[in-house]
Amino acid sequence: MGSPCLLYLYCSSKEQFERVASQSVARVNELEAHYSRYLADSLLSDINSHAGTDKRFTLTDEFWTLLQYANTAHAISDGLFDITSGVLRKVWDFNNGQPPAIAKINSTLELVGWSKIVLDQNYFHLPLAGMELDFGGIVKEYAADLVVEMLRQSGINHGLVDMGGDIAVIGPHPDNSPWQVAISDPDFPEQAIATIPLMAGGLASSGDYQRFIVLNDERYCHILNPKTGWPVKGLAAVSVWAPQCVVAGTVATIAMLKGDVEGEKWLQDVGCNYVTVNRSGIVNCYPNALVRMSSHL
Amino acid sequence: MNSRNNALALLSVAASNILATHVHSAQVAEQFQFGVRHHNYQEDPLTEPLGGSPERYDINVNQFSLIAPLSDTADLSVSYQKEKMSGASPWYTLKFGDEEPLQVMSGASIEDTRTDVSATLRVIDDFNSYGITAAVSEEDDYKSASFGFKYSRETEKRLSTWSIAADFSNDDINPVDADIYTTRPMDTQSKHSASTLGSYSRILNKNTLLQLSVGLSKKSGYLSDPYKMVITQQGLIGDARPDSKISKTIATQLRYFVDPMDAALHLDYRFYTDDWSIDSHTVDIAWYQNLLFDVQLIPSIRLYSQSQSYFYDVFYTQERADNYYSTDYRLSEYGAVTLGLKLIKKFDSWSMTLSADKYSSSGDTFLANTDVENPALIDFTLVSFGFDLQF
Amino acid sequence: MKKILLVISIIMLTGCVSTVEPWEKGRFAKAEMQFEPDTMDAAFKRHVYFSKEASSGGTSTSGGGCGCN
Repeated sequence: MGSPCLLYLYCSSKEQFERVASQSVARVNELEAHYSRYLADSLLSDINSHAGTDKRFTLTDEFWTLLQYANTAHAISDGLFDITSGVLRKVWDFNNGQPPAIAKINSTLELVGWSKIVLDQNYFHLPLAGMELDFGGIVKEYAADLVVEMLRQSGINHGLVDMGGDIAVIGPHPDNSPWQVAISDPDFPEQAIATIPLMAGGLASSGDYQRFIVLNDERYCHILNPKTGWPVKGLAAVSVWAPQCVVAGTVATIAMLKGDVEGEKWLQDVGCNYVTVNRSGIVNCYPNALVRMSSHL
Repeated sequence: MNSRNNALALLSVAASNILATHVHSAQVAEQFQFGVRHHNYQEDPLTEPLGGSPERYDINVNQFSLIAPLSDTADLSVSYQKEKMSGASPWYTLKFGDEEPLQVMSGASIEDTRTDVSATLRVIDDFNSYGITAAVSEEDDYKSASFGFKYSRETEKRLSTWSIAADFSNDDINPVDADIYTTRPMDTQSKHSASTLGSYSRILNKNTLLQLSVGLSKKSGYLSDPYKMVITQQGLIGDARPDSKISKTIATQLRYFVDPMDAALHLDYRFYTDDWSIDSHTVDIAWYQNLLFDVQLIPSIRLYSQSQSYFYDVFYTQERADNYYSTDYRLSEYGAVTLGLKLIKKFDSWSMTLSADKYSSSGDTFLANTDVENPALIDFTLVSFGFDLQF
Repeated sequence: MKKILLVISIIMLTGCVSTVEPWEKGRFAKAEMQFEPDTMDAAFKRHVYFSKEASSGGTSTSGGGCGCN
């Protein structure tokens, strides 16, 4: 999936660990085979490459429910969470600090818009040539949830799955103590700004300290706003906890898309558990008792 | 404000729907599954038989099963069983005055082979499951053919399942040596049976599953045992039972997963009643304990007791107006306990199983409490060994 | 009396009913949580008890009979 996947499991034997670990890897590879933009023969690439043509696709139940999920995320985020916005990535080069021409952005925006999609499980297609679906913001976290479920079914009750920084808990340590997960300080990524005790559920993080672009001496994160076509100048860091990792990931992404101040407000409205570091370096979290803050603050 | 407060809930439901596409309950087999078992069944010899051989049944059985996926929605399961049995069986009882009744066993040891084949075709379509089964069995003096079907339906959230099944069978009995033993019927006798079962199972919480089943069965035709005799005032006559039997069952099964022990508790109860006035209670308790190295250890206990049929007696001192007579221990009041232990060791695509069960019965075990127990009550030991393979 | 106890225990158990999300059903996929984890074993035991006791049935409509006595 591009980023490392780590499994922390309590198993009854090394043999069991190896068996379930390889099953998990196989599962994740299967997901990649279906939903990766980078693999030319994935189902997703097939649909993307036939955008604007007469070809119609019958979607698997999993694909269909993923689309429904994306639809719900679009609705609750006032249209900011949009899985058709992936094409905008081609327009921006995050390695140099130059914004692309306005005309280029505008013409690409014609290909963006979840409302342009007609949801049909049996005759699905992307209406305009050049349109693309991008599950990048969903599949990694969903994979974490799926691997957790699979491991539970294999009899593992204590463990944690770390899918490139997005965490899903199978169960606490065997002595019932929680996993202590550290949130990086955006200014000093090697250090933790907070430590969150996790007994269950998923923790997903987003921010601008790892992948960012500097424009006009300002730092923007790598997430692109589907309405303006520009990267978002959002919170420096946000971590969200929810019973399902995929939900935590979506909420974190939407908080980033809403920008610095609005994002913070939105998280409060939604009522989830979160930790944020805003552009001024101020740390907020909800609920207060849940998080142990590092002393250097 | 409302839409935002709902945001988490809406996302959660949508997320759970994605995961739900992976958690299927009823599913057709995806791989071939082959199983083989060898069973050795031995009844303890009778302690004080009066005449005949004290050695009771010794049965060796080889059992084979293959489940083959036919498509995404159908599978076929075929079973084959071959039994070789030898031993004597209870013949008739005698009682002198106030002494304990005595059992006379059949003389020569019977040697018989029984073959049993059955096949079930299952089709699963989303929430519905349809199955049809056909089975035949044959031994020297007995042929049986049966046909059944079953329909199940899961509820929308796949938390409950309703099912209904029906079975019809026809058995033909042609007792051996009917020319020598005149109490045995000369002609082939038939027995017909029709039964139905309705079940409801439900996931109560994430650790608990419960099933309730209700059954009704009717047997008609020749229901007596041609190889047993009874001494009456009229002399020695053949075992004579009514030509119809209607029975009902109500059963419940509980499966409970004990997280801290990584073990599952099985608790089953069945109540049986029929119009021969036999009532019985069966309790099955098993503990499936997961251990290291992919080993599972399963101790179990089964408690059983039944009342006697209205026409049964251990020895008849008076005539019956209805002319029904049987001294078969299986119609007497008694109770039995089975202690079992099973070991399963799992490997990558196969597993091995080894088990032993010890059954002992008496007139005052469990809920039974009779003054005169039938002298032919059995105790047996069953040892089984086998393999299961997936490919 | 026994029937009443049974019904009461069933009702008490159903009092432990709680909503179960699809991703919480993992335990029910385990072999040890099936109604019949070993179908061959269950079928054979059914055959033995059918031959040696007066009762039969309860959880399945098993096939034809046998001449076992």
